[in-house]
Amino acid sequence: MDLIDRYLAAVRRHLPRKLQDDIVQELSDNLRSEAEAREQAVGHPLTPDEQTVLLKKHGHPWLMASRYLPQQQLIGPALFPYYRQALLVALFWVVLPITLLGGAITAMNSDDPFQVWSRVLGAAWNGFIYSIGIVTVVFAVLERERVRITALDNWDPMKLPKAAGGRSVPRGESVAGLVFALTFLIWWLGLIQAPVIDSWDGQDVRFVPAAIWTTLYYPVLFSLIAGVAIHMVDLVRPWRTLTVSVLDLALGVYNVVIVAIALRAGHFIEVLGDPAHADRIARASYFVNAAVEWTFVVLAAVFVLDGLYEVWMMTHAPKHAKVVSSLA
Amino acid sequence: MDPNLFDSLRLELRRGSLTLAVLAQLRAEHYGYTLRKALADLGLDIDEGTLYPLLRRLETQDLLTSEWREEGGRKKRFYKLSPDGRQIFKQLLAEWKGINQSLDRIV
Repeated sequence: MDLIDRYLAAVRRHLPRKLQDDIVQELSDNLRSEAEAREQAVGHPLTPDEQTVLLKKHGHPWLMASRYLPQQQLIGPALFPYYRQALLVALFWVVLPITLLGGAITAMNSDDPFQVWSRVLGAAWNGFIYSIGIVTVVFAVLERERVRITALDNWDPMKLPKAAGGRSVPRGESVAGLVFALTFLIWWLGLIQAPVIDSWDGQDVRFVPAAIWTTLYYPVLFSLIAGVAIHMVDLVRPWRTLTVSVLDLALGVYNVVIVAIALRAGHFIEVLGDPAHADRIARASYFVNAAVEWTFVVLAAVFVLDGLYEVWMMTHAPKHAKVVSSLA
Repeated sequence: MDPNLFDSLRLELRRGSLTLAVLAQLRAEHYGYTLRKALADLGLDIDEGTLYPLLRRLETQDLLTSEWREEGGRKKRFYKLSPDGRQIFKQLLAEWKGINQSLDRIV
């Protein structure tokens, strides 16, 4: 068996069964015609090395066979824009909101919200992967059947919405913000239990929230719910209208006020323990509260910077939109 | 500059032209090897791995007809333009000439 026979056998293995005989016979003739022409040119039967050169020009048997398949691209350029849009809708308008909202509600009503919430995040990831797979398979079938989507052929420019002047919000930013805000919200509602530290340096101690958190419980709850709502709006409509920007800015100011009230109270965590070790407890209380205080200072700075960034975007993004429209 | 960019653009540029060249050449009957040789003699080299599957695809699109015949002691598959193929070829040729003329004016 010469190299050409081995090549043909290898190509055959990668072809659909019903096409194998036909394609291999034709390819065999083409290869042998080329080999004969080459033999005439060099004046002797082709050596294995010369056959190798000839076969390598045809490409790897697997590649050669795949070129004979009727579908050369999974999703062609005509369908790709629809595919991409369908993927975005499925992921960010269906899978993510349903999983996160449904998960948050389930977590709030369960006995072990932390575990439920962990499962929800895992389920969201699986949902992402499955959705990508399902949408891809559907469009691959449409491509194979040469279906042409005409739904958008008769669009009417008069029905286009007014140009959005605000900044676009990356979906990654909305998703990250939403996951963080929901997790914090569930923790704040007491549905996720923070790890309990009941001993420190060999002594029995308890860390309990100071009185200020009773006062600030509902204001913080309102802030978290408002934050979740704004992230949801950003996710569904990924550009900032003036209203959403103003609301976000107002929420930032509100958060700074909450942090300022907490900082003014100056005491965030009560450390309780055996009075016999009062000095150690006092030292623990000092360090814990100092750490929380500095965290709040940083948090306040983040809120202020975020607010300034929003103001900057509110004042600059519309100008950018005008430049774009005047260039168009 | 991305070294693969030229290859990628060249491939894109050639893809449609190759189809047109094959359709043009198959106004007369050929089998795979002689078609490739005829095109090469006219200055258009096509990889074997590209040409043979292309013939199949054009046939499944009803632009070519084929028949097996024995020649030189071996069975060969001869291709030629189908009536639909002639029609499409005329339209593609007109399109290509229009693009060519425009490009001549542009560049």
